Amino acid sequence: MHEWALAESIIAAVMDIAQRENAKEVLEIELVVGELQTIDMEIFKFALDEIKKGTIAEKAEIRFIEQKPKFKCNVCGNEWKLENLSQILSEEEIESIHFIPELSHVFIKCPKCGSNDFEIIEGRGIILKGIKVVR
Amino acid sequence: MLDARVYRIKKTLSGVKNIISVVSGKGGVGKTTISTVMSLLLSSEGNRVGLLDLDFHGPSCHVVLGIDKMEYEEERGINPYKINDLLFASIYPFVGNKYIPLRGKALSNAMIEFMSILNWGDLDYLIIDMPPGMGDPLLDLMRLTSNPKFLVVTTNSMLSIQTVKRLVMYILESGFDLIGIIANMVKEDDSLVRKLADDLSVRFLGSVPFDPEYEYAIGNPGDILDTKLAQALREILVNTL
Repeated sequence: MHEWALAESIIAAVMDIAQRENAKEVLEIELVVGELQTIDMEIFKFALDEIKKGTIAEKAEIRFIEQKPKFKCNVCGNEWKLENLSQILSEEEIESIHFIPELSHVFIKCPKCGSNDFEIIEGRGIILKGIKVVR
Repeated sequence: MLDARVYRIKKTLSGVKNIISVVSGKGGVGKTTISTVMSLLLSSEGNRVGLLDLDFHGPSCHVVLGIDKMEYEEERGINPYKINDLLFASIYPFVGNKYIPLRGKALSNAMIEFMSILNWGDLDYLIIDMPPGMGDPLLDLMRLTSNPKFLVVTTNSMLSIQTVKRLVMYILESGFDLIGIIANMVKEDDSLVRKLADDLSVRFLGSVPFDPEYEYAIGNPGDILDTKLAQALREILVNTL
């Protein structure tokens, strides 16, 4: 149910931007969903819909852009993608990364040189990419 | 880019009356001990207290509390772990005893993510055990929480004093409340800490003695509260908070 916390963050941010833009209505919300965080999309979408009820974003269409996690090693420069986390990680490890994606540094190593020192360059978690409003 | 998590941090801390960050420029001066024992003392006196271990490279409040296994309950975020009446949060249950190699930006991201998903509810005190130094965790805490108060811990050693002085100056010049300075692990002399407080016109809160019994009480909160260390800290808290 951690998805509710993420949804609360997103809608609070949307409301703040809308208010600053003097918006009458929010038409669209665009979110990047990084797959490293293994969000339960059904719960996340439900939470977003529930939280935006009664707000000026109630009717907003939410667009999701899914992104595979991509890493770059700080030691050897290797770049790699992870298509399927469960191939290399246990359920417990995936759960930890679900809560805090940076904990991937604890459980994932560069497949080329074995270092934990890498950057998550794409697909980390939820990012509010933009909103469309009516003023 | 706008960071949506910041909004939830503000929300989740909105019911906290006092955020007290236990800080020091140097490691090894006893921040974890002071913050954890302080939390136990305040909680034992009927206050609603949360303890947040933000030392992601070396979480250890759980060691003082004697927690080996802990799981968070999920409820639209995660609820801190309850030990007696104290609410406790740490990344320990996510990583166990594995090493946690995080660069500054990743450390900052991890801290923001963690703080944004915790449900603290209504608290009289949230005590934060901070990592040493003036890096991302301190700067993020100053940026993301409203009106955190700082409690500085140091030993009576020149090695610590010089660095602590820089930290105190930074806290004060940044316009934050500084509760005062505690001299920790004091054997006989606390004069350097007293002088530091005097020079900087900040409150010297008192001395906590070096207490060999404390080491044996670690892991047992009941025993900890009976140590000389806890008694000294209790007096400091009575006179301070």
